[in-house]
Amino acid sequence: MKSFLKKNSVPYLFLLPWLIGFFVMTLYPMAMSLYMSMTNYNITRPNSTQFIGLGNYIQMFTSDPKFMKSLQVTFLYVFVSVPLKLIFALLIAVLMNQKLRFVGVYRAIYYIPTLLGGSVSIAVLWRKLFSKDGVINMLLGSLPGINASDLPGWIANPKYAIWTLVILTVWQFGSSMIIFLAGLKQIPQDYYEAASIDGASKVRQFFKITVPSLTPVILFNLIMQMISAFQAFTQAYIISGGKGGPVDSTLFYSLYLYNKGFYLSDMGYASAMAWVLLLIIAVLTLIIFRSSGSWVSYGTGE
Amino acid sequence: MKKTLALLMAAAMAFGLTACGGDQPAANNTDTPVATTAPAAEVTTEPAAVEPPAVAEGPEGYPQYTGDPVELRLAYWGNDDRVQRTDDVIALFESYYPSIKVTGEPAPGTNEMFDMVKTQLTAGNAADIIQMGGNFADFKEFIVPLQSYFGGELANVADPAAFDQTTFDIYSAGGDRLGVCVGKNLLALVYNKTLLESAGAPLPPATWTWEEMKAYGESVKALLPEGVYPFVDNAANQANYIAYWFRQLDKPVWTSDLQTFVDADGAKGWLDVWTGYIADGLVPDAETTGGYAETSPDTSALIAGKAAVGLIWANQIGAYQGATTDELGLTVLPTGGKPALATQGSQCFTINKTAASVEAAALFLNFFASHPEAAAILQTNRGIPSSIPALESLSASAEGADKILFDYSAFAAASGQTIPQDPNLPGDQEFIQELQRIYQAVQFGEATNDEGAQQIVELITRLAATG
Repeated sequence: MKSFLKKNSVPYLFLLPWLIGFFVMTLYPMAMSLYMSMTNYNITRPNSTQFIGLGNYIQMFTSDPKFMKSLQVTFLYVFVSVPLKLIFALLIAVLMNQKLRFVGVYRAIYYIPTLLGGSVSIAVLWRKLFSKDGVINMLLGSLPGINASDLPGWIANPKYAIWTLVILTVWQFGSSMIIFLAGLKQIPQDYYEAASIDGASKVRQFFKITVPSLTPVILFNLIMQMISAFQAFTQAYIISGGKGGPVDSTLFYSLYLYNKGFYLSDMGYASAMAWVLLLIIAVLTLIIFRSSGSWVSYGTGE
Repeated sequence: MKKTLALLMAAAMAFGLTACGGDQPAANNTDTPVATTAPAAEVTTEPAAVEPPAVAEGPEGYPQYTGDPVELRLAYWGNDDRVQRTDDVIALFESYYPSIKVTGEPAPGTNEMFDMVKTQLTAGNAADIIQMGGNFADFKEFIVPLQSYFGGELANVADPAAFDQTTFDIYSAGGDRLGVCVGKNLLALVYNKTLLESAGAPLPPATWTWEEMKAYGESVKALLPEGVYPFVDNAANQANYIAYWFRQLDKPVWTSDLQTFVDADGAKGWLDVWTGYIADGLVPDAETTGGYAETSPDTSALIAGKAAVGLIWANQIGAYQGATTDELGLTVLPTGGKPALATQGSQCFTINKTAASVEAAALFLNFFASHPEAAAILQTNRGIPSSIPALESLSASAEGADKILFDYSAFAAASGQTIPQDPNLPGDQEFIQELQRIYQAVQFGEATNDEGAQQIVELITRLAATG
């Protein structure tokens, strides 16, 4: 022990800030939340907290229809918005990879939504754009054959509200696009030259060269975007007025968790929900990793 | 040499981190002097020793403060105007009680404030004085019972000749008085006088039944411009309106002896009224209604020009009038069955059990709620004053929106429709939220009125069981 300390004191001293941060700011809160998830801890009634074992978890899966609804909404959102966003990002990245004039300017412009999209003000703007008398309906109403007053209030209608959030997410394709662009730059031009000499069309080149070469980047983007989609909160909070409405149609998992913990003070239950979300994300990430062996190519010829 | 330098740098980094983390300024710890300090040094560093503590402070006719200098924090919600008025009252208070410093911690709305306050209560560093709404009973573990201060620090608000005592009964739990309510409030229907007059429509009468209200809506509908409806859809944005309905049916949602009497018939009656309005075009369609939260003028369909008559808290009339150039008026809620218009405690303040000085906090509340100079600053910003002299002087000189408010409150009281406030259902916030969800499901055809009524009763019964 003494010699270990002597040998390693300097590196550990340098690591100290991180170690303190990890143990105090990450590990301790996680352990506390795991403990709280097994209690009926209510922020407003700390004195009557009791250990209830797996009670919260059992309640979630047996007698909480709102929990099930929030899972349904979140899965729909993740499984629709992530693929759409990646496809969109890839297509724009391919365009941005062409030898165009001012391509740098275009890249910057297409990245802007990513910088803005997560903000509260854009969410407020979205609410206005898609409301019944909003800009979108004004534009649609000006088309021949469409009467603006027959159009729905996209945000206020439980059938459509979630789709306005999907559009908002897909619009923020910038960071995936930049990563795809970096991936595209790595593909040797020789492949394309050889393919065009052999007479392969652009489309065939895209599917036979570009996509296979990019699979490691696609894997990375897929995992990162999936995890962040599961944690989506801000836009749904603002657009739905904090309640996941109308009729729980935008009740994202994280929004319900927040609502339970902070609005309804049921922090024990909210902690349990956080652990279930962690499990869901971990399992899905594992599945994607496991499956990657069959579709990701690292260009090593294996 | 290199190693020493590296050690030094690492130590400096670690020190920097811990220094950032600790936010308790050591110099400020006057009430817990460190035992190891020499007594001589202690005397020179304690500000209390500079001012002799035994000098009594306070305005004439008010309880005095003889304690040590203390700093209090006051958490409340409100707009810029309210923040300004509150700060002015604090400054006035500090001029009378120089040893007590009060710092306001305003939040823009109740949700924002309670997010903050709940977190702080858990961490043990919440404000000393906290404004509460109908959810105050949820926090009773944190609140100081006030009755033992009625003979001392709260003498002025405990005087029945000078201060309305009814709100103390509501802001109590298990016999403990938990809050001082600066004002009173009641629901009202606000109407857009300019809009109705320019459409050639009659104004709502001083009182009306539910049938008369419906007939009025039908007659006005034809006169209003396209896209403007007679009424705002207020079925579910306020839990208090459905509570009013159940009170009229003599089936109260929650009574002071902790019981609920709601039934599916009553709930269905409520849903039938509003879905009937939707079908007859007396209120905007569900999607338009969904765009307005109806919590403030900014989110009001009436202020946006979509409807002519809507439900507000009477003390919001100033803010609503300030948000439009149209002239507004107030009338009472439709009558039927039993009197049900509850006079609520409004702007109620509680003292946190961890308060730096409960005595000083009680003195502040006593002053804030009852001193005539404070009332002159607050005007009606914090509701119809509970202080009887303040109510008399303000209502005598009121004009504009304030006059509308005082006239309405006097008329409602004289109409025989007002009743003392019922306590709020336990889990009040969940009630409002779920009521809204159920009503939206009915609006969008995802549930029938019968199913919706059943869900409302189940919701209320479930929440009542937690009380």
